[in-house]
Amino acid sequence: MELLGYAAAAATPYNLLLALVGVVAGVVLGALPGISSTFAVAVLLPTTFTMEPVSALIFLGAVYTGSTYGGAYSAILVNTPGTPQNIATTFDGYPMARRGDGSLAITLACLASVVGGLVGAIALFAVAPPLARVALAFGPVEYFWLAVLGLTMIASLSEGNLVKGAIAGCLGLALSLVGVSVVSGDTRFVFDTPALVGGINLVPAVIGLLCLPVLIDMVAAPQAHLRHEGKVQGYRLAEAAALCRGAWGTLTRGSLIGTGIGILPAAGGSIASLVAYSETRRASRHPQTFGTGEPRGLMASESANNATVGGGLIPTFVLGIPGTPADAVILGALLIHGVRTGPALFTERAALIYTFIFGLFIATLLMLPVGLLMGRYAYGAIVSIPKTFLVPLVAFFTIIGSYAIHNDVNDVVAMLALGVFAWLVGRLGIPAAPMVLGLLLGPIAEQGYGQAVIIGTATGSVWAQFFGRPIALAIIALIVITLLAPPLVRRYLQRGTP
Amino acid sequence: MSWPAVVDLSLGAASAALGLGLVVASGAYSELGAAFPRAVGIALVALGAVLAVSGFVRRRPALAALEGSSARRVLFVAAMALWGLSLPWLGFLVSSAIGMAALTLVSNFSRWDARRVALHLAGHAALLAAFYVLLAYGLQVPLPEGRLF
Amino acid sequence: MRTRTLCAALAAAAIGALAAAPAAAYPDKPVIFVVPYGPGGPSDLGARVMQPAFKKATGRDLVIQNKPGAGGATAWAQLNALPGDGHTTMLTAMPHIILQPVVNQPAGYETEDITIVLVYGYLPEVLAVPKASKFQNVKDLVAAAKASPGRITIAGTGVGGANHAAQAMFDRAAGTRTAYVPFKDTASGNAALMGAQVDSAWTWLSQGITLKDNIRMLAVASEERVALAPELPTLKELGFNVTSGAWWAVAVPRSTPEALRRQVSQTFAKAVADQEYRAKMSEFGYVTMALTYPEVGGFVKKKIDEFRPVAQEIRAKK
Repeated sequence: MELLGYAAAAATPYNLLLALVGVVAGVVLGALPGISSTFAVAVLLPTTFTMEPVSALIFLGAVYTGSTYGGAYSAILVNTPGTPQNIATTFDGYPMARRGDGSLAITLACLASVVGGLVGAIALFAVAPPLARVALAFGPVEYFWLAVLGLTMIASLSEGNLVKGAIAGCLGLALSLVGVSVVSGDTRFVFDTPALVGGINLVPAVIGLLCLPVLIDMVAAPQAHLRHEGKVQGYRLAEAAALCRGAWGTLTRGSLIGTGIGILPAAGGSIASLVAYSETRRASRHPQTFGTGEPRGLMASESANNATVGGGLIPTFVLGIPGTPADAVILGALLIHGVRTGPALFTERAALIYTFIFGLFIATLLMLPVGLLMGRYAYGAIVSIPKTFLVPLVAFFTIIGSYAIHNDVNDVVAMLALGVFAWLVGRLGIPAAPMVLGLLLGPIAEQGYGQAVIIGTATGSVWAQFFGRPIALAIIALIVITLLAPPLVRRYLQRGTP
Repeated sequence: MSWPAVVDLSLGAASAALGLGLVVASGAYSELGAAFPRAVGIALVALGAVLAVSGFVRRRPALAALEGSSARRVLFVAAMALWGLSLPWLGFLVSSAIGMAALTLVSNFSRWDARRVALHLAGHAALLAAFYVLLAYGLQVPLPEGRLF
Repeated sequence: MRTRTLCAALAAAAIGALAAAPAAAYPDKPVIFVVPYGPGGPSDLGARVMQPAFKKATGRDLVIQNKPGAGGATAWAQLNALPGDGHTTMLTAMPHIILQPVVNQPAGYETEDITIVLVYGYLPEVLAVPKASKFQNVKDLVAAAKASPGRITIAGTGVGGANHAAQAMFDRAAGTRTAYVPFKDTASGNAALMGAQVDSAWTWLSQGITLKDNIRMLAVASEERVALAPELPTLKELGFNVTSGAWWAVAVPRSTPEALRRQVSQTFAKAVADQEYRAKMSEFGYVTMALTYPEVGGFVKKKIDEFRPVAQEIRAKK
């Protein structure tokens, strides 16, 4: 009965309006490369100071979930993840758009995001306190192995030549080493350049590596950027819904992985979508279609990243430890509004928390109409405007997106340099996606490794740290299966078809 | 030797050299700080060696031909570099206006007439103005103002 | 013909802009405050709470610009390249700017490169253990550390930050040898502590209070006991001469003229004097203070004398 009251409190016209405005603002900001979810939430935080705490939370939650979906637009249409959570969306989303399925991809991303967002919110609603304990069971070693699991994806992103893919992954890892090392304090590979002391920033690097090569080829020839038959097709909603019905396993897996990884404070939405993508490919009977426009790859990534919104709020509320960077800002909003986090939040401040969770459900559901409508316009704009508009527009995003994140021209230079490099080596068969993977996962792997070595040395056995903990062993088993399963499956299939 | 084999040989040599560089550089770091660069370096050397050798062993498919105009590609990169590097000097508005104009010319494949010119000028101006308002006022991003004036 | 008209118009506009430029009142436009950490951390949060207070005090916006990297060094290395117009300011933290140039060579800047105009806040550091830990007090922890040197792990944020300094100072004061485990940010170090992945941790009082369901604070490294946790002993009264924490300060680029530095100092001092700001900050466990430009020099010198030896000690151990 009480719950109905909270639902009603969440559905006041004012809160509904805030949820709607938040989702719209989130989708727009998320779609702009360089404006991450964290940036969007942080920049809108001061506008919530004068609101009631619950309205402030609903608004920020809506911005967060909207931006996580909005990032898929640029990922699908111009191969540029709008937020780091959408990196894995580019792998299949962009090939889909290239072959003329852009509107389908955007509609699928919307459906998958809503499903993932709902699953994450349900987890937050129903099982938050026990799930939060999982976050605490993850130590440095588990993060190390989790990053290694993510790196095994290099194999699936290598487009035919495993050695070249692995070299690309190592290049990404090497880039992640630049700057002051967190664990050892060594200043590495900065070549006396102060701008490199902080390392290579992820957002401009990803924009450069993934988007600039697309632009470089876009200007070279007069053909349309994306294929499409005559007039722009509609939402292709029926087709997308049918695909979702046939892939409920993918959506469930993606949503659960997203929720689970969202809970881990040092991981976040980008890792969640990568792991979901990798696991979906592993479970697939035709893994070779991934990376060439496989709808399931897109669905896995988009359901997982929106599930991290609810998942990440679990440790934020229960433990006071943010699950994702954007949650750190939401945690700040709680503190500023005088709300103390902890398990007691769900009992003592039940009205606040449950009203907010209902607000998050509403915002997630609002994403369906808002996302479909805005997605249609985004797609329509990208396919129908001439190149003389498209190229300057996308170029504007790459430059301003790289600049805006830290207001630093050095980031623009890094974006351009990495972009030209990626285009050149891409011509020679070295793919860019594994570089992104290495850059993203390298720091997590290295920090986890270093901390585990220090702890292992202190407790007497480094070996026991790496191979003596149950969760670590489970992840190692997954790594082994991921590496060995595809060849075994291939052999099995070859036997089946003589 | 076929062209793809030459490419693989040089790529392999380059990554092995880079890997060697990482291993050598890691000698200057503390034990913990050296572990990763060394591991990545060794991996690069090994992978580079495999790639270089495989060029001789296995026939590689030919590289896809480069489609379209290389001149336009070079001009595009030059325009982007000009745009990015001129930001702190010319400021956001001037630099972006020049950059967008240059990219419009680079990506144009049709004849210009008065109507198209007007359309592009108006469209780009509107776009720039809209994003200026969004970034500077909506998101409070301190945009570069330009040091020259 | 048309070109010439346009040029003339542009020139007129430029002259107009120049004529309007020097204004007596400071601030006459939004003031940028660069925060050298990501959004959501303690420093960022404090700055965001200051935004409305600044607006109230000056009528102008305080614009926060996050520039994270290398524990703050990325931003501090770029400070003097920013325009010295008084409208560009940066958050700095002591002892970080004293430790980094010694510990992380090259850090990209020297302590003396940072021009501080106002010290406005203090975050006391606390020594904490997981809730289920067998260590009930500092004595237990020291006894265990003495019994098995190098076996007790202690988490903190980064290498060459305040947590690392506190660990080194405490080791020296207690005659122990603990294993320092650096984490990338406060949140991940605290998660490791709550999950008992480490035996103990140095963290901030604000975190200790927020996370009190899952961790136990053993002592605070401030000069006096703190109002938010009056039962918590200071390390000093327990016989360990350790006072540490983070002192927040407003810094300006070196090119900022002397008179303007004073104005910036007074303006920010006015903002942090705001009642609502002070109430919020003390609720979080932060101590508000306001050492203005004339007083800053002596304070910074004192901190350098205190922390430079610690930095050299950490460097020698690396």
